[in-house]
Amino acid sequence: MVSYLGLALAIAGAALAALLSGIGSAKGVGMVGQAAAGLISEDPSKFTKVLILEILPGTQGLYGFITAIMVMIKIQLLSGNPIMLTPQQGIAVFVACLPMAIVGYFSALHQAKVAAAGVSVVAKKPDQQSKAMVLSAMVETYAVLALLTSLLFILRLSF
Amino acid sequence: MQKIELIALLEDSKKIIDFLQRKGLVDVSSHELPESMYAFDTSYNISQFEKYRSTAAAAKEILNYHAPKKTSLVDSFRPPREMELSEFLDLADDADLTMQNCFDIIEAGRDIQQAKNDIIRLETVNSSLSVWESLDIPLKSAPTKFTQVLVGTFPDLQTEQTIGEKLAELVPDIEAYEIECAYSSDMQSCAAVLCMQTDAERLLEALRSFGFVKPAEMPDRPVSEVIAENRKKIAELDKEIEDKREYIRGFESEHDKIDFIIDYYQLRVDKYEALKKLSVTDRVFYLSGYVPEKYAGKVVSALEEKYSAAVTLSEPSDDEDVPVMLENNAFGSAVEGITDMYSPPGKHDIDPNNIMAFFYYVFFGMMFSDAGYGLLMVIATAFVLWKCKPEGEKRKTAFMYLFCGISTVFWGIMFGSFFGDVINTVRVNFLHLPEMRLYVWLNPQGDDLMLTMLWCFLFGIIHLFVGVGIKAYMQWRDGDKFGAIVDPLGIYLSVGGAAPICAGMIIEVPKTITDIGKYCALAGVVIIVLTAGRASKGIFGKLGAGLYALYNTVSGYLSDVLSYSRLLALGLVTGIIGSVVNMMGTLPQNMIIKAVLFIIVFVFGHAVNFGINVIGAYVHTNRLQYVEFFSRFYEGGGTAFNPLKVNSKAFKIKEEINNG
Repeated sequence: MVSYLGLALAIAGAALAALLSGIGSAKGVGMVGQAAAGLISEDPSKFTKVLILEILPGTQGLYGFITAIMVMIKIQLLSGNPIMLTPQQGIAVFVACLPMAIVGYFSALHQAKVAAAGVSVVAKKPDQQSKAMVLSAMVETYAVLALLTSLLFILRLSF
Repeated sequence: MQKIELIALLEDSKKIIDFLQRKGLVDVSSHELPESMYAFDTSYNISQFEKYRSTAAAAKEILNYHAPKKTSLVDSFRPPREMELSEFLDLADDADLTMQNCFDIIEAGRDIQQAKNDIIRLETVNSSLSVWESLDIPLKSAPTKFTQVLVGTFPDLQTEQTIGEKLAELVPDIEAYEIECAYSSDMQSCAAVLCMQTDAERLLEALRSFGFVKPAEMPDRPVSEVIAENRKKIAELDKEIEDKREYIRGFESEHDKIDFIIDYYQLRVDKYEALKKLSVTDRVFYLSGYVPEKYAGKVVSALEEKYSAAVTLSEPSDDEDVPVMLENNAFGSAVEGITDMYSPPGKHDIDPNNIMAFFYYVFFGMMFSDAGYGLLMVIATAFVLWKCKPEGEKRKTAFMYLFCGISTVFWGIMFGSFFGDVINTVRVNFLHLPEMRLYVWLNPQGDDLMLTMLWCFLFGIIHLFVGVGIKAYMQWRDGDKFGAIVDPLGIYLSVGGAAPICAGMIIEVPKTITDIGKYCALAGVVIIVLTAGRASKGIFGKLGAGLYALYNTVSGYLSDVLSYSRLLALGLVTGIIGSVVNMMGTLPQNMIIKAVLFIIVFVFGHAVNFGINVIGAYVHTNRLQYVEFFSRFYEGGGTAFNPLKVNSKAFKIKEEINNG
């Protein structure tokens, strides 16, 4: 009898990474977008400047997606003939996805707060937009580290 | 940078300021007012010119909305148009006329806005009246001798029949009335009830008991008439808007002139800001400022030759806030903007741009790391530089992305990424050939993952060590020769010695090297503990501060070096998404569908991947420079050299070319 538990756990991990990071980014981009819309109603010419700030908290969603894809490649899900993982292996993949899932969610929200504050920087001093960008990118560092952690786990696991 | 001081006749003051502004070489500074001199108060002129400038800018915005100026992307990189001084003066004479046009444009714009508001108001009235359109009497009809009309709405569905039934139930004794329903729906019903004067009050009460209320708008003419009249008014207003638009479009040829006067009034503002910094008596004025050393002689002789002025040059004293001007070749100056964003160098700093530029390009390339994307950057920036010949900041930015692009191509080849893995995707899916090795040096997406990370850390250590080295150079220069030797030595030995031991956890490192590392690290630790606390008092104070410095070194360098793992992470992100894009394009089985889908997904997917990752590479490269590199040695806090100059966007006066 083939047990699907291991495979299911691995897929759950991949789904969670894409899910939580995606939700975080969607919320984050939404928050900055609202702040940006307020500014654009006053001064439409600042659109490109705030657009860049708006997409900054969007990278976490992308990182989560990459994590999910890497799991799919690793367990050969995309080839249509997945590896039947043992439950233990499944748990390992699941846990490997957690850094990206959890850090991705929270860092996107916090990065969005900084980016939304950055929109008011652009409103008052448009030439200082890059500083607002750098401030916001500081938060992303931890999403990058989480992505790296998850990727290293996933790539180094051997079945 | 030299300090320039000038005394000249008051009557020449404006001419001299004009001259300096066109030369654009002197940063006029404010100074303490010398005794028995007073300051020019130009605040009123400045606010006047500011007002004109913002009026012109507002007119420009309105004009742009109704008759946009045709510009291409290429134009936005082009340098401003050159203009002879005589043409400048002619246009300046026309400023009043152009200003009048601006006022006309703004007024027409205001009229359009007013008309738009009126239209909205009329349309609202019409839509609220439209439910009454079938009623052929006015809503507000005067009572006759014996009769009266009650008009109102119900919040639900009512018809003549239901109203009649309800009234028969509530006031059975009243029979003489006529109900007419003008409109019935689930949300609202409108009705008029014609009745006897004597019954009116009781009928109204009965009607109110099931939701009858008077409408808000009650014109005293038939509704259809009012609606038709409003429609006519709206048509008239529409016509007026179109007329005004046409009128504004008539100013289309004024675009350049308005651009000119926006700049022109900015120029005047700058000029009067400079005049405000002068000290004057009844006859003479005094000006102080800073001028770059290599232009100083030229400026002085030109001033003395043209005007009766006494000019002196001197070395600025140490306590002055001397502005800083950067001078680098194309390679280094391209990243000056990045450094200035952090903070312009202070007067004791060395200009970090040339050294930083090298690391900037390398790190940007490693993070973007796709030869295809790099190639696009090189082509785009080379095209801009060759075709548009941008100047100033735009030129620097273009050069920066050119060098970043070259580096990206290099690292893309090293790591084997060209639009993701498009070469292998095409080989396998379309040409039915086996996959080939794409990378020249390392394959971070495969077996060399950990090795690539170690290389990233090594680049990081080199970056940090260079920063420490610059700090040591500055210490040596400032006389702290002991510190200049022991401070970097302690760090180099301890970090450099610990590195192979840490690397040994991941890869095989020969034992001799880890042994040497061990002794080096130990020696470094000893040096740090013994010397880093030398500024503290007492032997225990020195040792305590030394131990604290050791703790800071260990924790600080560990986190700083690990921070360079982003080089790998962002490089992987670009590569993996690129490959996923290619994979998604090849999912269908049918060859023709596959080819079509592949092209669409390829173009769209890689455009998105390029956009997201170029921003990522930019901000994270900045971070590595600011947080990891600059914190080793850079103080910043300088004031950028900001000369009085022709600060214009739309034109450039030919004479000022010689300011270099």
